[in-house]
Parts: sequence; C-alpha cells; structure tokens
Amino acid sequence: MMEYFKRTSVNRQTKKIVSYLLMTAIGIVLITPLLWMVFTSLKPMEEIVRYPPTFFQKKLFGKTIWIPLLLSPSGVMQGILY
Amino acid sequence: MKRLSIRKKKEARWAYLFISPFIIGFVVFMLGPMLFSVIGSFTDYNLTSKMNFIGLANFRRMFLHDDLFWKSLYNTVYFVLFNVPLTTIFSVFLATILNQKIRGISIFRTMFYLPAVLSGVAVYILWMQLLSPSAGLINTFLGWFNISGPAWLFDPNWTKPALILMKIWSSGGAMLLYLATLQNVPRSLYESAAIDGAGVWGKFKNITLPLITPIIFYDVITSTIGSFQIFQEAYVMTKNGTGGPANSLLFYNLHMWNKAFVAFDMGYAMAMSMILFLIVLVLTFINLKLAPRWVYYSGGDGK
Repeated sequence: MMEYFKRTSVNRQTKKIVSYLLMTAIGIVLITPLLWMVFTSLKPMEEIVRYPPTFFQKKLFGKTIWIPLLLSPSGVMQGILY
Repeated sequence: MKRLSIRKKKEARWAYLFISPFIIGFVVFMLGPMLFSVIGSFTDYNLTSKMNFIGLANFRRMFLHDDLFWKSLYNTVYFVLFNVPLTTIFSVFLATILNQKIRGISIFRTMFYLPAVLSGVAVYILWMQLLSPSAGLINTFLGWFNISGPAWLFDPNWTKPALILMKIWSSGGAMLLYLATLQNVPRSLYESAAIDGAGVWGKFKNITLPLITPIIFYDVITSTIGSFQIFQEAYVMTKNGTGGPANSLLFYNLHMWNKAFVAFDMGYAMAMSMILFLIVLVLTFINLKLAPRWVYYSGGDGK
C-alpha cells in the first residue's frame, strides 16, 4: 500500500514537470510573435528591415519609442474591452 | 383559425411592437438583400445598368468558362479541409493541457489566449513580417536548425499552409470555449477511471472527448462556415487582393469581391454567392445529419 502511494506521488511529480515543460514550450512559441511585434514597434525603420533580423532593439530610447509607449495602453485596453 | 379575444389581440400587438426592431432589421438588412441577390444572379446587373434577365448565363459562364472560379473553389476547399481539423485539434489540445489545477496556470492561460485578443489586420501584417522569406523570424528560427525555410507567401505551394499556420496561432477563442466545457466535466469520472487504472490517454479518449463532442460539433460547424468565408486574410496579405503568387490565395470570396467591386460584374458575383450559399448549406446539412453518430449529449435518449 505504501509502495502504491509512493509510486503515484512520483508519477504525479513527473506529470507535473512534464506538463510545465510542455506549457512553457507552447507558451513561448505562441507569445514570441507578440513580443516581437511589441519590440518591432519600438524600432526605427532601418532596424526593422535589417538582415539578419534583431529581436531586441539596439538603441532603447530612439525617437520612435515615445509614441507607441503612449499609444499602446489605450490599444491594449480596447483589445480587452471589445 | 380561432378568433382571439380583445385582450389577446392587444397583447399580440404589443408583442409585435417589441420584436419589431428585429423584424424590421432582418427584413431590411438581411432578407431584402438576400432576395435581391437571388434575383440579381439571373441578370447582367453591373451597378449602373438596368437588370436584364439573362437566365442561367451567369452560372453557365461560371462553370464552363471561368477557370479562376474553379481555382478559387479549390483554394477555399483546400483551406477548409486543413484549417478546420487543425485548429479544432490544436485548440482542444491547448484546452486539455490548460485544464489542470497547478500553480501558475492562469499565467499560461493568459499566454495561450493572448494571440486571440489581437485581431484582424494587425495580425495579418505581423505575420507578413514573420513569414518574410529572408528577414522573417520563422525562417531565421528554422535556419538555426539548418532548415532553409520556404518562401511562404511568395511560393504558391506554401501560401495556404502559411495562412493555416497563422490561423492555428490565433485559435485561442475556440480554446477558451473548450476550456470552459472541460471545467464542467465531473471530476468523479476521472477519479473512478484512475481507480480502474486508466492512463492519461485513456482518460482523455474515453471521458474528456465524448463529453466535449457537443462543443466540438458546434465549433466544427461555425469554423467550417467561417473558413468558407475567408476573405480579409487574402485581401490584406496579397497586394490589393490580386490573389497572390499564381492565384494561390485567390479564395472564393476574394474572386467574388474582384468580380463585384473591381470588374463591377454584379450579376456574376451574385450568382457566385448563390453557389457558395448552396455549398455551405449542403455541408451544414450533412454535418447535422452526421452529428448523432458521434456527438454525445448527456441526459439525451441516445438520439
């Protein structure tokens, strides 16, 4: 009986780890385009079309950053509300 | 017919008054235009001309002389055949792995649902960037594994798979629907299955899947209809709705749009819409007829 409980708890532990790994992997795949969009919106034009593509931008406080920073909260709110 | 008493009549009058917004809206904005397009499909109407009755000439032209009609129908059927099962399977899968009581699950739920919050043109533009053959994120990622990715939206063989990939990515709405249904599946069933020694797959196949078939059925019907009506994606992602490389993204509705609002061949476009209507009607009818074989309703009489 003890053996049974031990086995199930070990099983449960592995199951938990596997599902965390699976969810993290899928979550990263699903969220990357979104993050990439956010970062791209903050990049200057010449960096957007650069090859090879960059994920994070080189210059953090370029000219473009302020406009999206001001506009994006309202966009997000709209997305949530409607 | 039985004569109504004065009070009943008065009540009925009020009832009609209260539902009149719907009735008027339906007749003016739905039934009227639908009848108009039924009549228009037998004419050579082109927005400015008189509507001359030309019988079945539109349909004859469509079936016999318009290669693009068949091409667009093929594209649409291809899209429906892959998009509907893949998005359904993927959203059921996502909902199943999210239906656990473990710490931090709400973070994952948010992550999985976020793509569905974004919508419309923003998503299409985003994916045009992601799918860009050389500088796109997807081909860069594939490049890490020494796979040279296809040209996606520029390769006629890969345009539709690219679109389906995008659709799978944003299938969070259906996932939410399945998740809500999964929460209603009684825990006791899983417990008794666990005592009987059922594994993860066994539980899923014998308990989860049968109990969510009503929602799968609903989702399959609505997404089949929705997939047949695919238009915006192709319109935005190909230059001005021209249909992409080798007409590989010329979907039925896009072809119809081009006939109606580019060529101003209204009669022909209306005839096309009639055919699409018939196709969707027949498919939905078949779906409804097949439903009793695989959809399980608890508390039903097995019908």
